[in-house]
Amino acid sequence: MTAARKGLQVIPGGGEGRQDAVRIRGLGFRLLDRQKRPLPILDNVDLTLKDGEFVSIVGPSGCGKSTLLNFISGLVPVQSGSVEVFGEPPGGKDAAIGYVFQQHALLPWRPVLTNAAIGLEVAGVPREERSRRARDMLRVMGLDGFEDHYPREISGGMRQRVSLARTLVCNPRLILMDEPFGALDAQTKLLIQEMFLSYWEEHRKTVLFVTHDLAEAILLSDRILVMSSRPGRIMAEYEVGIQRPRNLEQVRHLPRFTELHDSIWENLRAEAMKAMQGRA
Amino acid sequence: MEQDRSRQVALMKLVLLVVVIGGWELGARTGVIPTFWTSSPSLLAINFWESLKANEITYHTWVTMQEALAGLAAGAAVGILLGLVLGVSRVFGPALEPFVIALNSLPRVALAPLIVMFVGIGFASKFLLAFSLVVVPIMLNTYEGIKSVDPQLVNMMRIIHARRDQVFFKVLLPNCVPWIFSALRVAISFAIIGAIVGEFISARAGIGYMIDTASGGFDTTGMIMPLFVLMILAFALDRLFVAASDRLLIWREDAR
Repeated sequence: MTAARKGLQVIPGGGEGRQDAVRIRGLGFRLLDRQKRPLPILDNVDLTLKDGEFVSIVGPSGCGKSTLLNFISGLVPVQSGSVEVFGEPPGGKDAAIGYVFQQHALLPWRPVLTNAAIGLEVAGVPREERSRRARDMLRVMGLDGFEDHYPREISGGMRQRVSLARTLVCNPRLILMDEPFGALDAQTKLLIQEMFLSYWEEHRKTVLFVTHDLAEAILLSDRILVMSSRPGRIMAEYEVGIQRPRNLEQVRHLPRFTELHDSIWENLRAEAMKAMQGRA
Repeated sequence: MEQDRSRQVALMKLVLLVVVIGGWELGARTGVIPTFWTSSPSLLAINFWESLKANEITYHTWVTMQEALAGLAAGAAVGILLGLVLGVSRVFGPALEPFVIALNSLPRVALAPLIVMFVGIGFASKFLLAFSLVVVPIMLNTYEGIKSVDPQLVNMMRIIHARRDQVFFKVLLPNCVPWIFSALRVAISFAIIGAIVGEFISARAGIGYMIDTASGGFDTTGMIMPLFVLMILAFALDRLFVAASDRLLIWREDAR
C-alpha cells in the first residue's frame, strides 16, 4: 500500500508532455570548514518537480534543505551537477520564481501595501495597477485594513502573510518556501496553512516547500521528499495520495495521515539523531 | 499612570531649573558664591541685554552659526557620499576602512593650528575645522548603515530581479537613514565645537572670539553669557532635529 520508495530514484520527467518545473541532477555542494577542510553539504541530489506539483522536503536541521532552495532560485551558483528551472539555468532574468523566506524579509520602512507591491514595482508595473493588484492580494490574505501599517505594527503571522502576498502577487510559476510558517505559534500557523492551501488549490502553482514539520508536509503536499543528515541527499520519497480539496481538520484524522506520519518519522528519526549528535 | 508620570517629570524639570538658577542667584547675592569667578544669573541677564542692544551677541552668534552650519552641511554631504561609496564598493570600502578609522582617532581639534596656517584666520579655517570634525563620523555611520543591511532583504530583491540601482535606492539607502540621522545629531555639537575652537585660535568675530576677548579682561560674566546663548541654541537645534527625525523614522522598531 505505501507508496514510499527507498533510495535514490529518478522520476521520468515530462510524462504528460508538460515541461518539468525543476530538474536537478547530481547536485553537490561543499564548503570549507575552519580548518579549510572540505565539508560536504549536499551530496548527489536528484530531484524533479512537475509543473503544478506541491512537493515538500523534510529533513533534520542543517541537512542543506535551504541550500537546495538557494540553488534553484539562483542565489547561489551551482558548484557541481546541474539545475534547470523550466528548462533554463537558474537565476535567469525571466525566471518567474517566488521565494518565501523563513523570516518575512519585509522592508521595515515601507507600509504593508508598498511592501506587498515591491515585486511589481521593481518590474516596472505602473503605480495604480500595482497598488490595485497588491490590495487584492492582501485581501485574499485577510489583511485588508492594514495597508498603511508598518511591519513593526503588525503581528508575526500578519507579516508572514504580507510576505506571502508579496510573492503571490507577482504570479510566479514556481514558489520556493523555506519553513515559511516555522516561526509562528500553533494557531496562527494553522490558519495561515488553511489560507495558503485554499489559494494553492485554486491556482496550482509549482511549490517546493521546505519544512521540519511532518504534519504540515502531509497536509499540504502531493509528494514528500526526505533528506538525510549532512551531507544531504534525497533518501526517500512518499506520494501523499490524499484527495483535494483538503480540509486540514479532516486530513489529520485520516488513517493515511497517521500511516504516512509514522512511516516518514521512522525514516527521519535516525537522521535527526545523527544531526543532533553531530551538533553536540 | 503614564500621564501622571510625564506630568511629574515636567514638574521636576521646572523645579530643577528654578532651584539651580535661584540657588545660584541667591548664593551670589548673599556672597556665598563669588560673582568674580562664576558671575550670577542677574549679571548674565543684564550683560545679555546690553549686548543685545549693541547688536553684539546677535552678530557674533550669527558668525559662529554660519561657520558651524556650513561645516555641518558640507561635512554631512561629503560624509554621506563617501560612506555610500565605501559601503557599496567591495574593494574601496574594506581597503580604506583602517585609514579612515586611524584618521578618526586623531583628535581633530589638534589640527586647528595647521588649518589656520593653511587657509588663514577668516571664515575658511572655522568652516574647515567644523567640516573635519563632522565628516568622518557621518561617513563611518553611513558606511555602517550599508554594511548592517539584512542580507535577506538583498536576497529578496535579487529574487524579484531588482537591478543594482534598485537595490541601492530601495534597500541600502533607506537602511542608512537612521544611521545617518544619529550621526547628524552628534555632528551638530561637533560642528559648533569646530567653529569655536577655530575662533579661539584666532578670529575677529564669533562666540569663541567673544569668550577669548572677555577672558583677556577677567570678565567672567562676559565669558559665560555667550556660552549660555550657545548652549540654548545648540539645545534648540537638537530638539528640532530629534522632532524631525522622529517623524521621518516613524517606521522604526525602537523609535529612538
